[in-house]
Amino acid sequence: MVEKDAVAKSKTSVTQQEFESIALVHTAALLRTALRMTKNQNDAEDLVQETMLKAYRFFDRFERGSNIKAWLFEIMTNIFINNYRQKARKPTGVSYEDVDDNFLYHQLESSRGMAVDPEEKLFSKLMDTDVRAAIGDLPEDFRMVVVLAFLEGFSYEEIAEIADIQLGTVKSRLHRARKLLQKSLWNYAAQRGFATEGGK
Amino acid sequence: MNCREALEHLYDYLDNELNESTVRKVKAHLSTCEHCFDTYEFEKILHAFVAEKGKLNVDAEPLKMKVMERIAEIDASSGRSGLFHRFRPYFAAVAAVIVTAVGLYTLLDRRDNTLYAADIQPFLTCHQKCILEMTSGTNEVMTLDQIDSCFAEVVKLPEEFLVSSPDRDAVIGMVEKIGDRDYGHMMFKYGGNNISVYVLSKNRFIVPKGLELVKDENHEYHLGSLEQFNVLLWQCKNIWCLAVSDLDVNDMMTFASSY
Repeated sequence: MVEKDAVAKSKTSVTQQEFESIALVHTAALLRTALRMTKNQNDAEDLVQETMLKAYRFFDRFERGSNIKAWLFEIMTNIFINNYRQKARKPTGVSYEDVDDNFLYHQLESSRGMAVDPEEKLFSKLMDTDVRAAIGDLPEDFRMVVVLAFLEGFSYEEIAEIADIQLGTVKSRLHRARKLLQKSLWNYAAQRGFATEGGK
Repeated sequence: MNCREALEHLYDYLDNELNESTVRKVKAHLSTCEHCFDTYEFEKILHAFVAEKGKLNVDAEPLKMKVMERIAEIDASSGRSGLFHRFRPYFAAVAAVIVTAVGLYTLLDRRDNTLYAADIQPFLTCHQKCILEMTSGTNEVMTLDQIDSCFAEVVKLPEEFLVSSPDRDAVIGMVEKIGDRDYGHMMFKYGGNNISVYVLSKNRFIVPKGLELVKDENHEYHLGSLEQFNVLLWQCKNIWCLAVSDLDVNDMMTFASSY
């Protein structure tokens, strides 16, 4: 009996160690994304904790060698959709149809001829907080794909898996999200005086 | 490749989602077209800029510690005994909750609409019997035989039972027979959590889509969630049981394995 317990115990700690070394290392990435999803520190931490505990519970079903980060994100997205989304979701009336492709680039074209390179000027005007706010302002579905693609470096295919949407949907959401993001960044830059200077 | 095509591929290119031959074509175009080249360069810089500036700085260390502690706790208390023993004292004075029959409907396979959903208005007669059994001071979880003995005549469930009623001071259990199927339902509160268990069928149950299969050495569970509740479906000696609860899934499985 004692022997059996010892065996069970060592098995447990091996699992714990493995989990710690291959799964827990993604805690920061999950937390960043959870903050984006829930927009609330407490909810984000709860969401990540729940994700990790669920992952641990099902750790034996994780196919060793496959992409654990994507697996963890998939678990988290499921929990978020089931448990948190309604709480966090606000109706959004964002319209993106009137934004052109490469919106920022085209806006900048009208600023060319200024002494300073307009691109460089634009980027120097925008603060970190502007970029974060611009991402935060995106409607939830768009925000999710942007965070997964731009900030966490997932491929379209991985995102489709994680968010349980079609590949085409990933692409179209990313496309729209980029437009919205560019429009939003432009507005933030304008608030910091970029557009008016550019018009001089 | 012309400019329109090149610009169509822009984002796929930036996201490394193009195949090699298309990448070559894009590059060939960019080497000859200044306008497209500038557009690509700008978007590339913007992409990198957003990726760099947009990333939130988080300190995940405290959370990691917390998770490891929880995992150690779970491992330490795993096995039948942990939750089962903690659970028993609550049986005597549990409050009950009905997690609406709607949840049950949702989980049932639509193909069996006629059999399951149409008039499921479950179980009442035996609920008093169940309460007696479960609150008689024995503090024991009902055995399967006891549950079986509770299967009795059908009494329609009053409408008010179909809505959430979290303050009932009793364990509630109900049973109904439809054809050769039995449906039972028990509800109780454990700690601050609600548990609602449906005993569904002695013969077969179609596992609804969306539940994932989890196995341990003794049981096979189908696990999922429904609104804010976790859903666990498992088969115990040919009786399908469905637990709907706001308990943590691990606790639910421990609970289920104690059946």
